[in-house]
Amino acid sequence: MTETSPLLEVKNLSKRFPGVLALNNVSFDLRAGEVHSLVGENGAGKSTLLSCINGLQKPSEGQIYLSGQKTEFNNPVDAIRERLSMVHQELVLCPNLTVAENIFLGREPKRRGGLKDVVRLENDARKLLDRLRVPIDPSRKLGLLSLNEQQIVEICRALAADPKVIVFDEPSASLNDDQVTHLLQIIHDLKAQGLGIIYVSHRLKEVLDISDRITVLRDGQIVATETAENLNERRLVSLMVGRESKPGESTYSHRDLGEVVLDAQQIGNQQFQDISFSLHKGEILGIAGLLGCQREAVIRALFGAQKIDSGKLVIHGREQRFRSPHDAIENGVALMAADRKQDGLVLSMTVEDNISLPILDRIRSFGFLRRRSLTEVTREMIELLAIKVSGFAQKISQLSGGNQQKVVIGKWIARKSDIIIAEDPTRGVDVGAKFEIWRAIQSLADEGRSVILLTTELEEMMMVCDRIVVMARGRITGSFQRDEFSAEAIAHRFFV
Amino acid sequence: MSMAPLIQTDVGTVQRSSAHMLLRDPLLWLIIAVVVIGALTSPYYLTPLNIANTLRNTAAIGLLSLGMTSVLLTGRIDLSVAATMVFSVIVGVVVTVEIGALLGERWLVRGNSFAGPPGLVIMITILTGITVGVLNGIGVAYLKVASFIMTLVTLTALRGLNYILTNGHPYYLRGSTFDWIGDSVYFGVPTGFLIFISTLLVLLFFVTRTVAGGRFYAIGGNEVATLYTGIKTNRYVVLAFGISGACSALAGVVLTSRLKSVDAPLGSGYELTAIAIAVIGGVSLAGGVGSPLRAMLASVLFAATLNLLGIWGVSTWYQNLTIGLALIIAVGISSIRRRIIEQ
Repeated sequence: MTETSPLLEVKNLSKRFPGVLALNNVSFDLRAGEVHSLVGENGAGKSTLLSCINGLQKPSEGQIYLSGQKTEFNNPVDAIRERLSMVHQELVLCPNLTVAENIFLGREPKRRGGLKDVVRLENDARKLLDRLRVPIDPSRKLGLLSLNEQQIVEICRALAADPKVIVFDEPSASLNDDQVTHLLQIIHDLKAQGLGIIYVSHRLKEVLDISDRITVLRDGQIVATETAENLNERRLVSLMVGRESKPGESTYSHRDLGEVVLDAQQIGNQQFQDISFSLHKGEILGIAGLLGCQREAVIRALFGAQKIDSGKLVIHGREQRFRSPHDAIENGVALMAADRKQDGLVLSMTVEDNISLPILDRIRSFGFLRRRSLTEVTREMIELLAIKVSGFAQKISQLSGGNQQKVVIGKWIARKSDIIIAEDPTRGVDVGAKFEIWRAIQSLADEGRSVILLTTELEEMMMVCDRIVVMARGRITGSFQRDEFSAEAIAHRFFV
Repeated sequence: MSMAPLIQTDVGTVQRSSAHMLLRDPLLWLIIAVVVIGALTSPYYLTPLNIANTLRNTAAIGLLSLGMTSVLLTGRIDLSVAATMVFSVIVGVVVTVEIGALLGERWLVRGNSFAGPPGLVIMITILTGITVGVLNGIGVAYLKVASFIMTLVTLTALRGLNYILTNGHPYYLRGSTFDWIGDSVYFGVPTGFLIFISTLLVLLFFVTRTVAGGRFYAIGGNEVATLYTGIKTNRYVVLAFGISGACSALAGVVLTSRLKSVDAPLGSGYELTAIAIAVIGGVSLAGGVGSPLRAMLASVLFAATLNLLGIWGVSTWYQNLTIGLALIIAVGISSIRRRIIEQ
């Protein structure tokens, strides 16, 4: 194993987080002049593996070898120094600086006395841009470039460190088809120049196109590493999804749906286009999709936090144009944001205070709070949702994640919102609490409220939803009734 | 095609465009407009004495806004500039007097007048300013205190210390150096203004020509990105506050040399004026955008306008109202412009 030792080799890597095994005994290798792709569902462990390779996180067990040499990175800067660069999914650039300054940030050519060498800076940048064959002016401000061009600048920055390995973490998530073609061309060139490339993407077609080998991750384990020729989309999806999961578990109970309460008619803005669906009274509707499918933007638009430029949004039979979340809330639309600590709760306040926040204007007379109604509402919610608290005056910050989430749900029930948009309500809660949250959401629907649900895990969505709409790249690509649910069929629509 | 001519044309465009941009700068035209209006409405506005006075008034407030600019560029704010300005001079005087006492000299004479060596006072003043700035910077960068809080605390503490150190009485400053800084005029330009312009040139050179200065913009533009490239961002934040402290101290020297005295409550509210000037000069409160040069233009505009209002007999209260309104409008315009650029 002297001359043939791979550029990068990961051996028996495991990463443990409290209560979770994010990576389980993963081995992976990359040769020079090879594109090796990583695919897997959200939460399969791709990001964790990349952060371990890149030095952002430390593996719990296992080793990483670079050109046969054992290495340990303490941070991404170490990795860059050892000639391993990463192109991030989100652009990590300074919009106020020029293209050249961004590319060489932290590695600027200097003249004596720490002076800038603008001429050399721009020439070096131009050389790199030429290498990728893109006509971007190095002296332009980065903020003036299109997303695609910024992505290319990001790639140049990775190249500026003269890496042997480049990791692309979903570089195509925000690009359109032409731009993706261009990106793939660039990667192809880099590969021809002898670099090793790790490519992570949700778009299976381009993965199959560009890769030499593909590794499939599921639940933190590697399920397959195969050459791209031996794989096709169908096989990849079934490897990623794994078992056929069984819908109809425990929490679901059949309900009769009522009239349409929310009707989106071809709504669109810069991030999504032509979104149409209707939500019935008592229905739980899931919106499934991978990172970058813009479902988050859609629900924010329904909640008035983003503008809708085209199409019609009809709520309770009346066309609505929400100008702010306040308008949406007035019309009975509630959003439970994924980041409950940041967007959903005031951590330093009590359970009672939090539940009553959205209804303060209803339980006051002449500007004074009616304490008794406050207590009543709180008791009602605590009983309805089985929230475990030591008292109404307990601080929210002392509750477990699951109970905090229930308080968020309780807040909007108390407000009598009848369209509740729940974004990843089980994020960061343990298994037992998950079950209770699903029950709570189920009971919302039983009471005749309608729920739009986003979760990271498709399986969870299939457990509770009446219907699932699938989105990809800002468009709806499929719709499934409960009796048609199949993880594989739904996952296929992710990649349209 | 060879590379050499390509490079030359590049440099040429850069230079031409910066001169071009200065001419197109609305601030310059606003200054000209104010001067023209002043000349038309008052026979005194363009007298050498009034011009010198206006420039003198520009100097101190302009120096404060230069320091403010360097901090704002990194996406922070420094509310302590005015308090630091006064504090530095007071420390300069008090410490010099103590040194004098050690040497057996009485440098504080009858009527609280300081009669020691001004050079020593100025040196200690500047060192004090830098120290205060660096401490602010350490609090903000390493202890992760929000700069707003950190410098507000510094402001309050220093204002208190100022009274303690002066016992509530002003110190009067005597000495030829103070007279030179405060009163002398070269070709119609007062020394204080020359100090301001020299500082501007140094700062301008630093932020536009050195790699280290470029980091201020990077940090203000995207701190995480800057950190990820391996740049030790904290050091640059401390440096920015240090520069702000130094500028404050210089402002203190210029201002007190003119007044020939230093008093604890001197310059109250100047921090807001400094912010106003920086923002009017196009420095973004969000960080990463702005130029000391335009901050200088803004301070000239500001002083010229206030001077004109004074000549017209508008009372100080209305002048303060004007400062407030100008700040609101400037912040409004800059945030609208940013939104337009983002779209």
